[in-house]
Amino acid sequence: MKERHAREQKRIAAIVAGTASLLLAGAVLWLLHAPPRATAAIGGPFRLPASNGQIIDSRSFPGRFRLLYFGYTHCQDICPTTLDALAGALKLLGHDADRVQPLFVTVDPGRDTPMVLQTYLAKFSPQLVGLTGTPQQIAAIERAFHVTSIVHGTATGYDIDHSAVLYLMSPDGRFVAPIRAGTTAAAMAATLARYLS
Amino acid sequence: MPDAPILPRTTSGRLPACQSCIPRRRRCAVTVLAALALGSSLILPRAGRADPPVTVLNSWFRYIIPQVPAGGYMTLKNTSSQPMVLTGASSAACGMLTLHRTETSGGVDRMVPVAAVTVPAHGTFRFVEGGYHMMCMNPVMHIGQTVTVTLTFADGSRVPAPFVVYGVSGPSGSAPNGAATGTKMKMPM
Repeated sequence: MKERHAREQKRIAAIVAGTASLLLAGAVLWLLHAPPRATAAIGGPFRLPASNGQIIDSRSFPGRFRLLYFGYTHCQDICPTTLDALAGALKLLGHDADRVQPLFVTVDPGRDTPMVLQTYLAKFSPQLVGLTGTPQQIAAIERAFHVTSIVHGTATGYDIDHSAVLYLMSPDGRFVAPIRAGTTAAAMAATLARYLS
Repeated sequence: MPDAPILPRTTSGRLPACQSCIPRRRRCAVTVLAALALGSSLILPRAGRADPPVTVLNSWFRYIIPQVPAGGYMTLKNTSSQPMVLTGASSAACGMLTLHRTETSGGVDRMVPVAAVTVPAHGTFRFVEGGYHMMCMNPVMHIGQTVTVTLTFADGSRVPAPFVVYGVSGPSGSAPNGAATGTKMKMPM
C-alpha cells in the first residue's frame, strides 16, 4: 500500500516537472521569436481632418505604405528641407512612389488648419496630405507614435521642438522603419526602395 | 547740391538745339534722375568708410507661402585679420528677421535663437539647411526676386546683401542637409 502510494507520488512529480519544463521551453521560444516591443508599439489608430478636406484614418489608403512626418509650417528650416527631400525622393522612386502615401502631421494644430496645410504642402508635392485636429487629437497621435513635441515661447511667438524622424508604416499598419529628417532625397529614396520594391 | 554736368541748361540759351528738342517735362525727369544718381553715388555703397571686411555669398531665401516664415541662408567671408561678429539682420522684405540654429539632440529637432555669430579672421561662416539660418518672419517677396538684407556687425558696420528668392527646392534642387548652397544653380520655379 505504502509502496504504491510512493510510486503514485513519483509519477505526479514527474508529470509536474515535465509540464513545467515544457512551459519554460515554450516561454523561452516565445521570448526569442516575439517581435521587439519597441517596434510593435509604434503607431496606432487615428482619425483626423486632412488638408484635402477629407477625414483620414489609419485605414485610409488601403494597400499602401504610409510615411508619417510630424512637423509644422512655421518651422522654417528643417521641416521644408525635409519635405523637399521627401518630394525629391518620391520623384526618384518613380512608379514605386505610388505604393507609399506621405502624411505630414502637424504638431501645431493652433496655426496649421487644413487650409494652411493644403497651400503649404502643395508647394512641395501633390502627393503630400497634411493631418491636423484638435490639440487633444494631435496629442493622442503623438503618443501613439512616441513623438516628442515641446512648445516654447520666442520673441516672435512660439517654436515647437519635435521628433527628427519619419515613420514608414506597412500597409497593415505596422511600423517598418524610421527615416531621419534632414537627410538627402537620394538617401530617403534608397531606404524607401528597400521596402517598397 | 550742384547741378549734374549732363543737365541741359534752361536759361543760358547756349543750348538752343537741346532746349527745342527736349520738352520741359522730360527735362524735369532728367534732372530728377541725375540728382538721384548723384545722390545715391554719395550715400549708398559704404559712404566715406573703409569697405566692410565681410562679403556675403550664395545668399538666398526659401519662400513657401506668405503665411509662414522664409528661411535665409548665406556664406559670410571675412577678409580681415580680425574676427567679425554678426549681431543682427534686417530687411524690408521680412518684418522681423532673426538668427537661428537648428539643433538635433536626442532625436528631437529644435530651433535655437542665436544672439551672435563670429566669422573668424580670414575665414568663412556658412548658414546652411539644418544648421544656422535666418528666420524671415513675415516674408513679402516673390520667387525670382532679389531682396536686400542688411547685416549688422558688432563693430557697428552694416553690410547690405542681395538675397535671391527661391521656392521650396532652393538653388540646388533637392538640397542635401547642409550641402553647399548655390553650387548648382537652377532657375527658380
